[in-house]
Amino acid sequence: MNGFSLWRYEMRAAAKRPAPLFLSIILPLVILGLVFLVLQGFVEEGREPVEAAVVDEDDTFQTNALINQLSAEERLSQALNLIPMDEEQAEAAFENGELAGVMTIPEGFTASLMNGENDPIDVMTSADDPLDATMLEVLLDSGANYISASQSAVNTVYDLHIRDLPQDERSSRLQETIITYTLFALDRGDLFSEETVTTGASIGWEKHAYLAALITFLFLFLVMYQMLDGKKADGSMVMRWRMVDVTFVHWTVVKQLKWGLMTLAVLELLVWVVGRTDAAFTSSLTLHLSLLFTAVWVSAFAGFLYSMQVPPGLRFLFFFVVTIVGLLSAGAWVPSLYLPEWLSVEWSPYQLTYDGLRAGMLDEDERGHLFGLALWGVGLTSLSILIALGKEKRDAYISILTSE
Amino acid sequence: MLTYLFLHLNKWKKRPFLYVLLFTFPLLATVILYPLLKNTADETAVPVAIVDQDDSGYSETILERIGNSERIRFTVMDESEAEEAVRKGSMEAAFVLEDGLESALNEGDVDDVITWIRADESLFDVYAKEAVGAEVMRLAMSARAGLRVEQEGGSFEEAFDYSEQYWEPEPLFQMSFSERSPENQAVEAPKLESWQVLIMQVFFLYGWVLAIFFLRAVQDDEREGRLQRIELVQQTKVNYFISHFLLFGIVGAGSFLLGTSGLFYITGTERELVLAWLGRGVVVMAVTLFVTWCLFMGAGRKRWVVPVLVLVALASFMLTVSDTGFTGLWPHCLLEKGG
Amino acid sequence: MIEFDQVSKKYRRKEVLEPFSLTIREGSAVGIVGPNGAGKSTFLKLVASLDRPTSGKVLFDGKPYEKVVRQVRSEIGYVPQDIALYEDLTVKEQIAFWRRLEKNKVDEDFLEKMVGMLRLDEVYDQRIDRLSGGWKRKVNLCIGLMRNPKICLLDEPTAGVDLAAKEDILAWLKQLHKEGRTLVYISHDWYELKALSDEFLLFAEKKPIFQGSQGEWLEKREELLGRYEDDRELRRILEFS
Repeated sequence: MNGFSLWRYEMRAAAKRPAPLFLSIILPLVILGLVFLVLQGFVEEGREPVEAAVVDEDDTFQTNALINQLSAEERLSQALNLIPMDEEQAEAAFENGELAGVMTIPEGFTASLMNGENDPIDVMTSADDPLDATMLEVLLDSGANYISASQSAVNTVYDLHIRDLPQDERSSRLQETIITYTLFALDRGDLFSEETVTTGASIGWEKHAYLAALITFLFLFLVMYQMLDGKKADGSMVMRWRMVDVTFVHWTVVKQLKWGLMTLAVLELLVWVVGRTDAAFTSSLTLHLSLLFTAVWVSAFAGFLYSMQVPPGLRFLFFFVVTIVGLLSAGAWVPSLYLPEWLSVEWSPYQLTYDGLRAGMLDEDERGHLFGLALWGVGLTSLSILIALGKEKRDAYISILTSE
Repeated sequence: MLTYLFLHLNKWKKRPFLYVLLFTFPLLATVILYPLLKNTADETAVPVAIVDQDDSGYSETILERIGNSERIRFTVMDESEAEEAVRKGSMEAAFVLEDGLESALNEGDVDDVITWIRADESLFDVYAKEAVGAEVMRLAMSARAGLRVEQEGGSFEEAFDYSEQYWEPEPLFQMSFSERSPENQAVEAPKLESWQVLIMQVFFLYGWVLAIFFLRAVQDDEREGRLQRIELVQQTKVNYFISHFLLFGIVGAGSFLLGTSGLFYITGTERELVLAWLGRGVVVMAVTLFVTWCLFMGAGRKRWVVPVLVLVALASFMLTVSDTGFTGLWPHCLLEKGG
Repeated sequence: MIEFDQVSKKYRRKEVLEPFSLTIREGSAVGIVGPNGAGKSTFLKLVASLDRPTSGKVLFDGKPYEKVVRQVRSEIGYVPQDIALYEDLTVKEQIAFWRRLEKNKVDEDFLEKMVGMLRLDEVYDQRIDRLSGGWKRKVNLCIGLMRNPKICLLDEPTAGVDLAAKEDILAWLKQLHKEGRTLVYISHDWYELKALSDEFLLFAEKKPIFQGSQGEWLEKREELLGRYEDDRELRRILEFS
């Protein structure tokens, strides 16, 4: 079998010129490493409470209660550190980048609130610190709803009852109402009785992260490798191979085999390394089978593009874009739970890959996805062989089919 | 210049599909992928089950009001279904409006009127909790006001409705957020969305790398002896290099600007922002390409220069985007500061 | 014997060979001449089974190529015009590599003789990319003919080589013909053509316009000169012969 010699040559070339393989492994790892650093930065930043200033220009009992309400509430106080400042202090601190935002309660705010006029409170957030700024918005927005609720009730009681009381009683009754209602609204945690159920099927965030990294690496690797390794052979060289009955069909199959094997080897190595360093990561027979079948179909896809004689650069772009859409739709990054339903396509090979690897990580015996992956692998391989046969038949002769 | 342009146009004409595709790839990707990604982003939400055991006016009101929540997809289920869904992981959490919710609120008692069923892995359900809690608290506070007024001889219903009208058309207490740059607090600076900046960075990388690959044409000319021939004919290589530098610039900047303009157009970005960013983009791209050209020439146009330059471009992109760059001098960093 | 029966060839829509018929006899040495673009290389690829005709049939000992392509390829040696070699291998590795592909088809004595005649042992351990053009041509030839073929197809085997290398190559080709092999080769060099061929094949205007012995060539030359008066390139070829 001269196809085998071509295969041997290809493998030898890969060993002799390891740059494509090396680059295809290193670059995705660097990309993933950087993504990890960014995410870690986000998580760490998220743990620190957001610092914001509050400038109370009205300074009334209501506004003090309001600030208290915002900063003393249990959940809010963990995430938000609201520091009372005067205008100049706040401005200076904001300019120095110490604050994610400044909330200013204007003079006459209380009066407008009591009148039922809804003048909003201005909050200036920092353009330089978008993450904290967003956090601040979410926290204050949720606080605002509870304040609206208690303030609506206070206004109602004032308008329908307290206003009619003698002057000396009014103020004390109002303050009492505000305190009671504010405290009541603050106790909103009491509304809920919490029940936690254990989930059997959910993959969990840590494993999801592993899976996302593994699957992203897998595709980045092959998308790059098939480009760097898949240059079209020189015309006269193709002739020389053809003289020893090695046709374009052999080239296609050998390339696909090589890419598949490299993908599998790199993946297994990665899984082995992660398994050695993190005890939480368990590998299973299903995982290995999933890796195998994934390698089969992805290399078949690359082989299919190769058989279509798409130039390497274009193949890279096409494979890359299809992969982005495929992985997004499979919920490899954002779990499909949160994505719109129309996005998920059950039979998509990307979905099957994700499901297969997921089952592998959870050590489930469910192996239906493998069948789907195998089908894609066989289908794409057959298609690329047919296309390659067509090309060879158009250009020359197919000895295996016709010759005696 | 025109002579060399003709030469390349001729080459590109041989495989028009390939070259047009390569040149307009950022634009095409934007046009094709934007609608899909936008719809996905718009419809991404946390799925939460809601169970109405009370079946009262209040519980109906709550269901109706939380239905409009952004980023949370509420689905009405019965309790066993909901619990199973959370267990299976198809729902992030479930909220059960317990039987007796309305009467409890009317009596001023809010303790445990809702059961919140969640899993160990639930993460974003706290937002749903806030949304449900806020609606229940609104009713509870209105009821509380009604109760108080009733105690003082007024009507519960009247006070309840009076309290509720403070929510129309807008809630009583609102915050208005405005984003400011610490250096200039007085005016609100219009800004691109951060994802738009990211896409621009990707297009910048693409244009840059495309231009770097164009340099191979110069390497080929030199290797095949065409450059020497040009030198003999023209007595100088200056014209050749100037023309090729300009073409190199057109390839890189053209692809980048085409993609970026398409992005701005399709997202309906303000004119002022578009002009500012495109202006900045052109300047940074021009400087980048000039430096790239100088490095290419300085390194003797050797074969290894092209892959090394591609790696530099990749490094610039990745280190800027991940905010781990050792220096602010990466072209992508300079581009980003344009905002 | 190889027969062409109303064979034509198009690449996409461009016709490179118009329908023609001819026969290559066993044991003959056919020198192909003709202006550039007349279809010589395409013809040679069709003989080699490396290209397929758009219409018509190519027959090998009376059987159509598609039925016997394995046999055709096993009996034919093809030397392309370009240097089709792996640049990063040494001469020795290159030969070993292609020999493995030829499996048992390689005649070791023949190969040894060829290596000796072409003096390749002098550069055995050098990498291809370090060799001069003449040496590369010789290696290219050696790889193409290593299977000891009955029919040798050569596309400008001596293009761009120095006199010493040319001498080596021609001596070897003569030897092959003497041993009874069929030679079909393209050349622009009349000295070479006359030294090697017992038959000329002239291509012009996308088809063969003459096939015959050196004697017949001399007889027909004037007529051809008259007929193709306007074709400057062809005229020069005829005049120089």
